[in-house]
Amino acid sequence: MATLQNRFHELANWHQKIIFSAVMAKEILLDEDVTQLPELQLREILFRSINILSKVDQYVIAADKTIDEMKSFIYKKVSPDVDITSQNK
Amino acid sequence: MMINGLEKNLMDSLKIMIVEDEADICDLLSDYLEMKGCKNISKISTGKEANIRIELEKPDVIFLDIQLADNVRGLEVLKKTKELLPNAKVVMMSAYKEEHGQESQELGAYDFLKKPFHTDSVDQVLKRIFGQKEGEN
Repeated sequence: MATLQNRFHELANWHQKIIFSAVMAKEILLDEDVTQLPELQLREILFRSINILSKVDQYVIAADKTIDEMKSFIYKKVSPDVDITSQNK
Repeated sequence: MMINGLEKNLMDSLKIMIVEDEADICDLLSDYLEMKGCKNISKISTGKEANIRIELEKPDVIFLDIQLADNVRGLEVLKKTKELLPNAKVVMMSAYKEEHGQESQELGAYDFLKKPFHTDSVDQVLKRIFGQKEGEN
């Protein structure tokens, strides 16, 4: 069901995937002294890291799509010019 | 890459279960834990399967999403787990801490990770769990 709550849930999941992918890609490279590795092993590590990073752009695009859908719905209900900081107090 | 200060033997022996309906999150969390030295990790996507396998495998730590693929609520799995395995450390994961945090705590959850959470939060939870396990040994 496409409720606002479900969309926020989806958004949190996309962000979760982005965080984990970024950290994993970084840690794969940090885990080894890449300057000392034989070429074959270095290729394997770079391939693993690139493989993870190649998904990040897909996650960002998907998260953006969700935000756009939420934005168009919310803007119909609440004026985009409302100061939400004062509303939240 | 181990988590600083944690015993390798403890990391090896710990049985971890991830119950999460988003396959990518499940795989990434599993890969991360493996990279940190955890060897024994199960991955599950539904509440029904979780209930069966928790009883069979008796995990020490469960990372449990609240919203699961088969609409069995993670909170139901938590309740059943604490009845079966009172010492299991169940770490709840959800975007809705405001809605589910209190109930999770009352049902005996060890911790609550509000999505999206950073891997540092996972490290902190593991350190606390290992700290307790070292104290138990």
